[in-house]
Amino acid sequence: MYKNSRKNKAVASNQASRTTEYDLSDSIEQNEAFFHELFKNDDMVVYRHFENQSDPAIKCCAIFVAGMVNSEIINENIIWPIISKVLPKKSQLPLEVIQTQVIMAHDVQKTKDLHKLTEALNTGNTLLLYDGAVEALIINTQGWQTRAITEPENEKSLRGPKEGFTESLMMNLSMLRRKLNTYHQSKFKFKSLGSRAHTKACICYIEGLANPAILAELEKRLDQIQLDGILGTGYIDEFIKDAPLSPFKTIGSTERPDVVAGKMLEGRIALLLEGSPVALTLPHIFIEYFQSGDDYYINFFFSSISRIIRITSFIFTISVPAIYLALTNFHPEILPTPLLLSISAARQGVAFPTIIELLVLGFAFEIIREAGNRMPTTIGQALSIVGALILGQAAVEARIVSAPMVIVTGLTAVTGLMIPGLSGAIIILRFIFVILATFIGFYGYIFGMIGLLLHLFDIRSFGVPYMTPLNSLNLQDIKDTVVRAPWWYMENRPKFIGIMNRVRQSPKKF
Amino acid sequence: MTLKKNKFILVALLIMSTFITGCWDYKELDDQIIIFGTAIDYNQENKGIILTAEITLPTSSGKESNFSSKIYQGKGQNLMDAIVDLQSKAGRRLLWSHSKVLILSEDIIGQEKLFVGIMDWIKRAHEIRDTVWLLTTHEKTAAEILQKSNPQTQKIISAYLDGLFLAGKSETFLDVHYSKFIKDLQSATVCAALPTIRLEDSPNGILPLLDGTALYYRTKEVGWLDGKRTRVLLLLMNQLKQAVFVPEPSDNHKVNGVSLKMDYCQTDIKPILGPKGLVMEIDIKMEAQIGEIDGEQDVFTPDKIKKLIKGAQSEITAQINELLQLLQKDYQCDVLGFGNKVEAKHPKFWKKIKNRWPNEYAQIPTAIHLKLSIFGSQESKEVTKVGP
Repeated sequence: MYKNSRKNKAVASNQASRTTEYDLSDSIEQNEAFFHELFKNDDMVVYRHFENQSDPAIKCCAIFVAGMVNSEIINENIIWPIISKVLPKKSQLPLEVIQTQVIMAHDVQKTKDLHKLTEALNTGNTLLLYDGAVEALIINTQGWQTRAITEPENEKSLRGPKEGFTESLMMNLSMLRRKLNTYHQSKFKFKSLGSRAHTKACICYIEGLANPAILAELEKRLDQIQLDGILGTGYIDEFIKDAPLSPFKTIGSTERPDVVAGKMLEGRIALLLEGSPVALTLPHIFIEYFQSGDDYYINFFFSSISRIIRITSFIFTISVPAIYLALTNFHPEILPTPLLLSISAARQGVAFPTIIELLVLGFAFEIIREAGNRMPTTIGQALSIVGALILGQAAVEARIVSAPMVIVTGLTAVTGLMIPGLSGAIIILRFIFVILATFIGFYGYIFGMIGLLLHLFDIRSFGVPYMTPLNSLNLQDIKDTVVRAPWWYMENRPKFIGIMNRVRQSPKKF
Repeated sequence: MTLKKNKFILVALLIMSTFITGCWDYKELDDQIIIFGTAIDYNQENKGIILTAEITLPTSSGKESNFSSKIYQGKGQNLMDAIVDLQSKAGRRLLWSHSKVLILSEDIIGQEKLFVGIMDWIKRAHEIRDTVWLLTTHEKTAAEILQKSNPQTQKIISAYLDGLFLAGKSETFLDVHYSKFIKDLQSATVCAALPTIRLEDSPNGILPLLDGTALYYRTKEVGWLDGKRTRVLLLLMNQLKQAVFVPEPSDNHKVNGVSLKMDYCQTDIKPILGPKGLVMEIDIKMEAQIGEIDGEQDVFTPDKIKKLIKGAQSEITAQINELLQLLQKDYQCDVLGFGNKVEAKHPKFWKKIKNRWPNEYAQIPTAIHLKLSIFGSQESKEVTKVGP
């Protein structure tokens, strides 16, 4: 019931946001007045009247939004030809002739659809009203400043390309398209998202590789989004993911065009959004957390080692505090005697029980991490001094925490930073494991692990089991998981994802 | 709907089962006193037990951690009573899971009731491990070992002893876990054996010295082997992996003064039921290198090597024979487990002799086949000479 009423409301507000119905008249003054009224209190909109030198009856008005247009194009390709060219008599000069013979722009459309006109205006196009015409021209004069293409801070690469997505959708798509010269098979399908803000999104896939069922499912889910504005791909992620309450992502995200291209070649679908440098890729399976774009550029031995390190780090960061707690407070017999002695010695005189120490120190680390994310970079040094000295050394010396606890927290923190995509899940898992271990030691930790595995094997991403292909014993299936096989061995696309065309390397061609 | 219900019940059961387990024993490490080793004595006054424990008090000041030990004593009617006494004296909970050694005095082993109680407690208590090393002493009390000895390389005596046992290169003492000891003790035929420890005076203080083996029939000590004989015993038990053979100095020996370093020893004892009755066949394979040559002599000619092997073989065989004589005739103690081997190999025959085994055991002839081969001379084959 609640859902229905919400839907109705959304539809109502949607309609209210549309411009009032108006048909352009053949009087340029009237039309202009209409636009003035429509864009009342919006001083960014500029109206420029001009007439032909020889025939002042040829009256035009260019409407555009200052700052979003390339004024050079307007000056030289729209205003200049109309003013100074010797044009035929007005009666012999319909709008079509202006469109085809006068305006010197690469993209000119003729329409009387008011939605199209206003939308075009807002995206940097110039509207050309012409006296006597009931239609107007939309001339592409887009030209605003964008950020330069730089290497993404979060996904650095040693031997891969150094370019990263920017906030401009078209620029991003061009980077993608340059990598995928697949004749006609690369598809870039635009979609408008957000019932009020109308953000442009693009679904990218390769025909014949991407699964049409997943594509249809994606479009269906996108159509169901009724939010008024989508400002980043994170919004979409939360709306369309399969397990909305899971801390694990079932949709991948990256800032690297080469990663997106690689995933598309495996049969995945990418979703890019205007204004967001982060592309979504789907389906996304668990092992992708541990695959870095750089893995495929460097030697496969080395990238395999890196992957093993990443996976062990993940296990470490969720387990080390819980295991430490279980070992010291429930099963001290497992500890080697010298280690038991030194832990016991370090614990002497510490005020709080281990669990409190663990939670407090863990919380303190999360505070430092969050502060590091939010603060200006100039005061970064102050933070590290405060974090290292006050929370580390001083706390140990004052016997507020024990030294092994600092090591445990430090190890947990460092290993936790290795997989940025997982950081949210890691904090939750770590906390749950610690609480379980506090109550019943290793038994609780094992319980937590079983629960985690059950969850991971339970969820799916767009129909693809999340733990694919970790449950497979086939060598071809697991070639790109814990270790990365050399490229010449990866003959097939990943199972399930590349189901439309499994063969990646066709021996016949070579 | 039922699926949802089932899921709910499953989750509820899982959560509940975590909270109704018997493992709710969150204990901080620093609230517990770690017991490293214990010695148990018989208390003549009240016919009870004196429990001497070596506990560690790890402390740390600044950047240094200090591990030293202290000796506490508890007295009681039996072991549990003594533990309660000890605990109230120590003031904190005792952590038994890291106790390494248990030294039993002669007296306490003789008191069968109390001794069985001690063995039973180790079996029952969930913290103390079955891998605790057992040893005995001929000193006046077992407590002395912990109280007086002062090993120079370790502050904690029990850790020192543990290290000796763990090194696994013992030639003069057995390493006996509780689990092995109790198995032998419960066996019908096998004799239990324990390593003995004694105190030795040295200029730097009193040292604990592991040397020799005490042999038991039930709880009665029937014999004691010194370090040298223990080595032969280890060889027969197939527990000697590496050993040093130093020949007895004698004038008639042809290749005198050549010590051997055994790198490989393999002993196989087989009961053979022949026409003349039961014979225990002892096959020993040894591989050795020349370890030290005393005096200038060239032993590397084939002739001399042969002689060397022969000499060493006969000497080792003699040592084995002497030990077997001691075990069979004097101590009548089947520490090598001859009985078990006969039972396993010839069950029908065993049934016949089972009842008169102790007498039978003393009579069993043995045949020793010792095969010694010398395969090298460590790093050099040169003869060490003094001057020209």
